[in-house]
Amino acid sequence: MPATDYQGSSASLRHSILSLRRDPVHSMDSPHSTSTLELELETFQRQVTGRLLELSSAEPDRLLSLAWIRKLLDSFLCCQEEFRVILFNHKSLVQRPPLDRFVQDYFERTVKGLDVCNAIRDGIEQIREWKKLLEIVLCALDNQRMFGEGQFRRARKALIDLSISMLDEKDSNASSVLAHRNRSFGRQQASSRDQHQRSLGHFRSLSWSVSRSWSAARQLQAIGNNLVAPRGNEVVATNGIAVAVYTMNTILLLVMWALVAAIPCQDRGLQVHFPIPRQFPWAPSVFSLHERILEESRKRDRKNASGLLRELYQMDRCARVMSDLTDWFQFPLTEEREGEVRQGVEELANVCEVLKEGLDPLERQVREVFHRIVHSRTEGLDSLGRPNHV
Amino acid sequence: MPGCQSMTTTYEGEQHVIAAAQHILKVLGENKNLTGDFRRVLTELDSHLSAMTIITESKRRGFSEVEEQLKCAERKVMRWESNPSLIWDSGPTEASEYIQAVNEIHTVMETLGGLSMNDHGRPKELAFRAQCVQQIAMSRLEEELYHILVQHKQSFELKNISFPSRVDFVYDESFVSVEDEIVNDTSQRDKSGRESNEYIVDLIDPLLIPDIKSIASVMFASGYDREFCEAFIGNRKDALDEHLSNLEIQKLSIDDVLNSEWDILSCEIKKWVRAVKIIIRVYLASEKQFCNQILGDFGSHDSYCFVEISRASIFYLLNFGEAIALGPYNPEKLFRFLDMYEVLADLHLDMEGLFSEVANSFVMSEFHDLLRRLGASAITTFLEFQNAIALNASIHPFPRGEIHPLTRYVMNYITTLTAYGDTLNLLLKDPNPVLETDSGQDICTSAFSPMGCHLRSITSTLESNLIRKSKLYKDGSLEHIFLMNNIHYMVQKVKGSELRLFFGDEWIRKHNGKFQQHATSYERATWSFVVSLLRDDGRTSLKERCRRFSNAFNDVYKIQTRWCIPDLQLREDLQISTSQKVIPAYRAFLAINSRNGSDKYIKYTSDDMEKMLLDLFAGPSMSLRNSHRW
Repeated sequence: MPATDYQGSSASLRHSILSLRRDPVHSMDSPHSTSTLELELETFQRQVTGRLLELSSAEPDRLLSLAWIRKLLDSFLCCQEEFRVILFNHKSLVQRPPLDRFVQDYFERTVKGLDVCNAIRDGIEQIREWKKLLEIVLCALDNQRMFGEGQFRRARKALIDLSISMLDEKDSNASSVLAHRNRSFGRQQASSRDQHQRSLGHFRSLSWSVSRSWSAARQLQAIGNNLVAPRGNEVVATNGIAVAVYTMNTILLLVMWALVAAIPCQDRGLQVHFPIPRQFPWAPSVFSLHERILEESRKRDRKNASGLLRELYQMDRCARVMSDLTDWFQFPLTEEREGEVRQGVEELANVCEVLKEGLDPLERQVREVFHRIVHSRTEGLDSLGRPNHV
Repeated sequence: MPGCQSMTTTYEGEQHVIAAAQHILKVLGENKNLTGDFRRVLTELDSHLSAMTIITESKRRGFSEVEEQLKCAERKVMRWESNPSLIWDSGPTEASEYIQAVNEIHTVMETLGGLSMNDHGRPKELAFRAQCVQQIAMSRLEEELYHILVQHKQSFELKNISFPSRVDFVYDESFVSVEDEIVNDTSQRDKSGRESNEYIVDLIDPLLIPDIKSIASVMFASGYDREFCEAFIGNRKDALDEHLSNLEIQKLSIDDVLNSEWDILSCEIKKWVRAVKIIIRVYLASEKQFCNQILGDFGSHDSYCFVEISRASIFYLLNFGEAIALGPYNPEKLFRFLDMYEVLADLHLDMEGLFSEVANSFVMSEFHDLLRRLGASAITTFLEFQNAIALNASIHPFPRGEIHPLTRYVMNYITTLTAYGDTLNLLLKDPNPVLETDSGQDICTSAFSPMGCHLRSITSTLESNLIRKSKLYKDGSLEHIFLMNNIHYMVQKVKGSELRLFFGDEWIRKHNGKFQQHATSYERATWSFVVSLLRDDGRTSLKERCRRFSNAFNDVYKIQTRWCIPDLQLREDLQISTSQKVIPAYRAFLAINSRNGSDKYIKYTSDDMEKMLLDLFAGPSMSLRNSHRW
């Protein structure tokens, strides 16, 4: 069965899996364990489909939010665990070619995901830095009885720092690490102070984790490299487990890709090929997610975003609003203006609150993904009976 | 002044009223039958009255005084705004004057802060003006802080922190021989016994600490603690990054690590081992102290700042370790895994000291995770090593019966391993050892230690492999020479190093016996037959016997002079022993046959024979001195 003929092979895939029960040559150990395997594989596919469906049917303002990302990671962890159990329960099958190759290939792909996890963790840290600047704005303007110029200046300074930082992040491939601070309110540029160009710590983008040559886009390409659905004969030869491997590979790619899309990291290219054969029950969900996220990245106001995380968008928007509002020098404020400021501050406070609640758990989850990948790879390679030698 | 007069009178009048009211409250309060609610009302009233006293007090001082105070401070602050030079560069008086000015602004704001919402006009205007000046001053102080930290950075020598490196074990994929002259210095432990705070250094000129503290004080008091912390953290992070790059740490991704050549990786690991120690024990400890010096008075800000500063570098160092621990687990990596494990185990107390607060438990759990994984990697590699020995297969017999490269490699490998005896014993006993706080354990070198058992198992695997290799020889004698050489080498290695503590006398005795037995077997295999040719069996003529003997001896000579026994003592011993088997028989033969005049068949005296036996086992370097054809 040629690999390119996706439409045609759908029937044969199902047929292949079903025929295992009838074909004594391919039944391993006992017919009983084969049917257990079949059940496990079916359940696995069902679970995957269900989770992906839930994720892909998120409302527009929920997609790529912190909560959604956490759900995405949670789904990954669950799928990963179920997959691991399948491999564990059927070690003897896993050790036989060609399945051993497929599984080994899967583990190699997951290792490439480890660097993505680390980069994402740094991205989360970066978002925290931005949140801290917003907290200064809140400190200046929240819960104030009246607004004065001093508070506005304070807020504005933080907002300028924020916008420079976010710009720096986007241009992280550029050589500039030092940021020129815009002195606000027309203070003269003092020459000797210029000489000490201030490289504000929180402006540097991701200083100590990845080298300048690391690229998220390249990493994603590597994860998705040569990812093709198993052919009919391969499915038969592996008792259907090859399908589970392919499924897991796809989920891995999707999750890593979505993380890179959402969170700031170095060289966030989203052009990764997702060639998914339509006969898989979860294919429509994956396709839909892919389309929706890509579309999001193409939107006018999100094109140059450092990350598509919804809260980042809100943060950016609030910051812009506050920037405009604080660009004002007539005090005391009119009631109308004051109202606008208070509203802006309230929205900002909400975003900060969401970030405050959500960033730490997200980081922990990303770390959990890292650890699980390492653990299941070690376990998996051990059970493949390989002496873990190069 | 009439105004002042009336104010004074008003004040006095007010004070009387307030005092009277407070007296009434006191009397009421002494009533024991009061309800909770009533008592609360009384308390509130009392504090309200007290507050009023303050308000009237400040009012008494005169609003104009406050305004004057602000104007004065404002002048000082604004004067500096148009000044390009740095305040703290311009001398201590300027600096303290500025701080004082800022403090005064703060006092003014506190004073004015008691105003109610309904107050319009001058007080509120003044408050906003003060706030504005304050913001300008805070912004300036942030810059000054940054410059102070940059300009007064201190560098220091690292030479008094020595980190002896272990011997570099050269691994060759094909098990080709390793130099026997590797110096195995097992006294390489960095047990300098220093107290941890001996390593703390001054990161910033200590003279500037009061200045930095005063900036911190004033910024915190004015509610600008966030700005202070961010500027502070930013600079400290920069400084730490600089240290890391001075230690030549490259930013390697996990992919990079997995795709690197081993010798490059080995270098990186050595750098890492050194860096980890310096960063944690010197820099971070010093940084923590510095944070404490500056921010110790402000609640938990010092530990918050410290964690933020150290996060990125700690995580990087730990990530590198994780990447290495992913494998693959080739035997040559064992020493690096053990180095990494040991350095982290050594530092775990330092780490606890730095990150022990509950909020920082994530750092410690990552640390412990890595430690565990490195330990597991080490054990896996150690066990893999034994597998590798078992699987090492030869197709052809090893020339000249010499010491096989596998033997050399294995014995040198395990000799080097003895330097890690403590750690290996710990890990072999329990893969997740609880780290002892006291590192004064003695090396458990008993032959019954886990290490001892494993090492004997390894040599036993080696022996089995050697026996298989010896079967490749067509010549039975060479089989014995080969095994004799190799087992003798093993025994020498064990006797001459720390290995003897792990193997024990019993093992040495037993293996002495083994190689000696091979020597005996060799003699029997080669010489029994040859010597038997001299015997008079009644049927063969003397001439024939001489001819057969000569040929046999000649063959043996031709072949076995090219065999090699590298150890000179062993060679000599075997030659002597062979002599003792052959020469007396030959002498006897000569004695019996000398009378018959059969000298013409006998070519050599027993002396000649002895000399020729000394040519045996010399190896290819030996050029045949006696190229006689018999």
